[in-house]
Amino acid sequence: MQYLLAGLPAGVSASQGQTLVGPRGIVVLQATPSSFAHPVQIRDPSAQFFVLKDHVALFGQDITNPQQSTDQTGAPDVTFGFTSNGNKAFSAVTAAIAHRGDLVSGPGETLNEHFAIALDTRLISVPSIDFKAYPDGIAGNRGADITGGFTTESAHDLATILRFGPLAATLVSR
Amino acid sequence: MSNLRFLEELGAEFERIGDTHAAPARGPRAHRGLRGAIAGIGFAAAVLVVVVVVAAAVSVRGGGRAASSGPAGIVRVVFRASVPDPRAHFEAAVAYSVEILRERLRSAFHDVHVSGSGSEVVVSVTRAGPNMRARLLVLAVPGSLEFYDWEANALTPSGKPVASLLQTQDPSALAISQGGGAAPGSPGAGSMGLYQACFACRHAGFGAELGQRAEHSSVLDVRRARKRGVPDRGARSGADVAGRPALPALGAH
Repeated sequence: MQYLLAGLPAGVSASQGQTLVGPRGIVVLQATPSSFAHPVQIRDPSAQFFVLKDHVALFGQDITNPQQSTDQTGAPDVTFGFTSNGNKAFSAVTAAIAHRGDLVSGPGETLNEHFAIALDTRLISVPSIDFKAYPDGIAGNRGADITGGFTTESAHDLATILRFGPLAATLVSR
Repeated sequence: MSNLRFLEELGAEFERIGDTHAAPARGPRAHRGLRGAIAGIGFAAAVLVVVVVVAAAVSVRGGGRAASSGPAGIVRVVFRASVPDPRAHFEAAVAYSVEILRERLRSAFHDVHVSGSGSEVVVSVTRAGPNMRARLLVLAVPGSLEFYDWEANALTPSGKPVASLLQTQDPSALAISQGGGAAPGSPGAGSMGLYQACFACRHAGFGAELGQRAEHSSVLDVRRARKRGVPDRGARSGADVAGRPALPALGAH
């Protein structure tokens, strides 16, 4: 995936308007925001990133019916289901993650591994897969949810964005 | 708070200037005292003027906020559209995006008008409430959702995948995987600054640099662009895009 930065943080000596363009096969994702209502902007010098190989397990079109809801603690979250293909892919990737977690954990040690959910160039959640509870991964037929850091409004807005799908163009406010 | 700090800093600056100007004074004590008194009055007057000006500015800002949150408030945002995928038909991509954006905004605001002309997309929201502009910008993000196998794909600063280094207890791999006290994926959990991220790309053998543009495309990329819902050059007009069955119905399962 081509990764574009329409600006650079302070301290980076580059001409105005220069873009950072990563190569295909790699993606640079900004770390999860502590608040979805007020996320750190990419240009902020304190912005933090992770670099990933761009091997996407599921896309947005593999999910169905995204809704703003609340989790078990009453905190706002976003729930969704999976398409048939999404269900298979989700089950497969969580199974692979669970097996690896089991493999790397030593005796008496638990190193759960994770999957990551990203929206555009930003991570929004990195949940763990408990390999002891789900040794063969998690079936996607009961759907999933994204939790953490949402207000009701920001959860509603994420659900709305997911429901209507991605834009084909990037919009930058003047 | 920032206004207060600004005033404090300004006051300190006035004092510094006052001191600088007072220092060369060599007259008799009485004259220095009179000069000091005049300088003090001047300084106080200057601070008073600054306070009045800043207070007026704060008042004007507050008034603007109140006006935009009132029933007659209007938020208008002009966007410049660009299409990252060089294979996409520009006009079709913008028309498609206008359509999607309109649907998104209608679910959040009452009176929304979205129009596109060339590379310009104009959004107007009437009866806007507080923070509407910020919310509007949130809803105007591209919106590509992707799921990754975290440890298999996340790279350490050395450019190697985390999963390949966990069994050797590599500290940077452990930090990215387990978070090291922070939630995995959050700032501080093995995250990198922008430059370090560029170097990690290089170490991974991908040669990322500031200002360097990737030149290669592949069938996979085209397929992925389609999966993301981006119309390619096959779509020649907004009408072609509008005919695509890509917009999921609200609440469809």
